[in-house]
Amino acid sequence: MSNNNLIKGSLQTIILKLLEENERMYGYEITQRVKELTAGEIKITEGALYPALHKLEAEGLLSTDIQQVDNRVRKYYSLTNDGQKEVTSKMSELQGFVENLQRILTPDLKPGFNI
Amino acid sequence: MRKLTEQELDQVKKAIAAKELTSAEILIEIYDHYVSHLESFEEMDFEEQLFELEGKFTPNYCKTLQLNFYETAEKELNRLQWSIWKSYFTWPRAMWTIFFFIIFFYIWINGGAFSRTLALSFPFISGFSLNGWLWYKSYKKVNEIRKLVKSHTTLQSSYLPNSVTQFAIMFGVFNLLFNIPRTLNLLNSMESIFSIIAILLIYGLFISYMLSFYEACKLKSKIALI
Repeated sequence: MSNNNLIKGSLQTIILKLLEENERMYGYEITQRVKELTAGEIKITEGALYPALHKLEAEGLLSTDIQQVDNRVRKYYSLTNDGQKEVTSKMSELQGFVENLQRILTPDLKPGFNI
Repeated sequence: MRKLTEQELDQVKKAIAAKELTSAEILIEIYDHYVSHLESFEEMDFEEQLFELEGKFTPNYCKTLQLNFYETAEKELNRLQWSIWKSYFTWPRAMWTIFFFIIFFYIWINGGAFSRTLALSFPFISGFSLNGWLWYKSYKKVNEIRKLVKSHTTLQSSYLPNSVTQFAIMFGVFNLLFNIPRTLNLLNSMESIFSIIAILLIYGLFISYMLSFYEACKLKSKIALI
């Protein structure tokens, strides 16, 4: 499924939401978790993932931790306090957008439905 | 999930080293991504998967990622430093700031030339020493990664270039306080109250800037390669 353009706008929200649920994750783990949750329908490309992670880190929403794992060093990402707050606002923003999109695509649908 | 053989790991290291990355943080992230990905495939798929990864992590992409990360690291350290700097002027840390300000003012007014020189030199010597210590600590951390990946490029932490700015500021302030008045023969006019206030202000800003930078580096060193 070629949905890269659709994913782009919500990538940050996806990352923040996953980190809210998993406490800390590393880059490759995030790509695999998304693949697993969507049964391979959504694949986050490395080209988009790392710039997004670094941007969130720069904005102070993510903090990093470097740890030795199996003879190599791994960089873990986790939410900062600001990041925790941002998840809620990003999630409601995305849910509102999906709701509005749904209204456009299926005008017969009554307003105020839950996703 | 399997463990890669030594031969496979060598192949991965060669592929990573060929990208000629200079940022240690980016290098470890890409290396971990490669190994994690390849470990989830059977041995017979190794070559094909490595080729696929090489297609995604092209040298161009890696260089852009690195360049952006240098900017990110700079912003992050600056943000942290700024928040620390502001804390020097808020309760309770402001008490220490006032205390040091009074001590310095006392030395400047009552001390002789030697005391003044000592008071002015101390932060510069400390600054140089702290900068040297920072570079040494970072070198030790990054050197392990360099050995691990067998990289031949000058690998460094993305946070380290910020300390070069510190050196530049240090030299600038040193010139402003020591060399310029001497060169322009302004030493006598430096006794005026306006000069003293100006010196104290520049000096105070410099010390607080320097201290906040090293404090930020100390905090960051727990989770980064500095």
